[in-house]
Amino acid sequence: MYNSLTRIQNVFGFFTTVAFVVAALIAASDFTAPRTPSATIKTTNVQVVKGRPHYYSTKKEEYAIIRFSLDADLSSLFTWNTKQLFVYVTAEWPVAPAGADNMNQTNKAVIWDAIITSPSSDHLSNLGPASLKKLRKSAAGKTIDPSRGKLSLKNQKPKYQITHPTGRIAETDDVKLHVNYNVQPWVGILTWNQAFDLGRWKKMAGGVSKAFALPALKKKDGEATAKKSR
Amino acid sequence: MRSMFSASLPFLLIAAHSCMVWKLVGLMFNTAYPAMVVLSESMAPAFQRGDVIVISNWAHRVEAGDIPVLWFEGHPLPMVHRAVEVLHDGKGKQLVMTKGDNNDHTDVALYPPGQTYVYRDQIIGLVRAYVPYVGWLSILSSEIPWLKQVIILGLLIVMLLQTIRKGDSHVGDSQHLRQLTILH
Repeated sequence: MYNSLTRIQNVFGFFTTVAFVVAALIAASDFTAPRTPSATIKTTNVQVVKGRPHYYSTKKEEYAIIRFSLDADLSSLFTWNTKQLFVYVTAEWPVAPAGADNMNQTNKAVIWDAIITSPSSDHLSNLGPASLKKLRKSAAGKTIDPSRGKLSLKNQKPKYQITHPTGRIAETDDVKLHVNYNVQPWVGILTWNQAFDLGRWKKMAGGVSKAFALPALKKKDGEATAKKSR
Repeated sequence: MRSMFSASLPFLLIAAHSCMVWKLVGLMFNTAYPAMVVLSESMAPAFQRGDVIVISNWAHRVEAGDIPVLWFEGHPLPMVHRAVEVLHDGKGKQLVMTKGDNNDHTDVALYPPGQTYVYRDQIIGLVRAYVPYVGWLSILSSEIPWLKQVIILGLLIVMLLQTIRKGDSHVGDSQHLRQLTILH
């Protein structure tokens, strides 16, 4: 016997099922779009200075400041389901093997990151009204703007100065800069740059700098405080 | 009496099924909390309040750039931020530093006193998938004090209505039966 309550239940149940299927299809559509990211990165200036984690701290630690130049083409990562792209540059160096536990481990620290929103999520970014207007204008009415994925940075100052829990980071060998990305979808799984090809998604072409060593501490008369806390 | 129990059966079934699905998904993803609702804006513009994040805890190694869910002992709620540093001390232990995308500073001030890094066992999983907006019902029912009561009251009224309806139809059946027997 059908009454309005049963009808409401049926409609609501059908709505939930349809919404779930549509979301699953949108999430699956991510795999049909090919990805061909590429990047070149090189260091331009590396220094190690002594500093404190924050103004009131008494701990003296060594901080590495790694300036770099980056050219990247991440435009293929922008699809209709991309909400934002989180691009980040990490400095990676192997852990000194002190015992069996330390085999094959790498220290990784982010030295620079940027959030690139898709025009569909511009209104969610953390910009003031003037910069938001400029950002919206740059998309020029397009709903997907792959040109935002093209990056070109020259002698970029790092956002973060990195250190090690022991406080010593000077004279570390075999440090490499890696370019990474994290695609945040509107609905679906979050994906990072992968180390291998997966169907239509190619791994990043380039994206790793040559190995370099962190120099010895800069000899200065006074001692600098690491101004930018992370 | 019996009709009231049978009217409550659909709701009990829904509750039991939801519980089972939650536990099974938790086993699938190796965590007690496979899905969570985002409550703060510290990861904007990636996550907004009311979004649901799906969490998996199979990865032993956290990588820089991952999004771990940190839940410290004794804290009522977890934190979802990005891992900006993964370093190893001399003894093979992973030390993770986190920072919200929308924050200028790392989370050191938010860790338990004396801790400057997060350990792998304080991380209950990494965010792997995302669904926008569907968490709003959960946020509203915990923040608007009367909402949960209103929803439960609504369900009880629906159950009561269905009991009354069933009672009416049973009365109709017996009358129908009597008419049939008289005719024969």
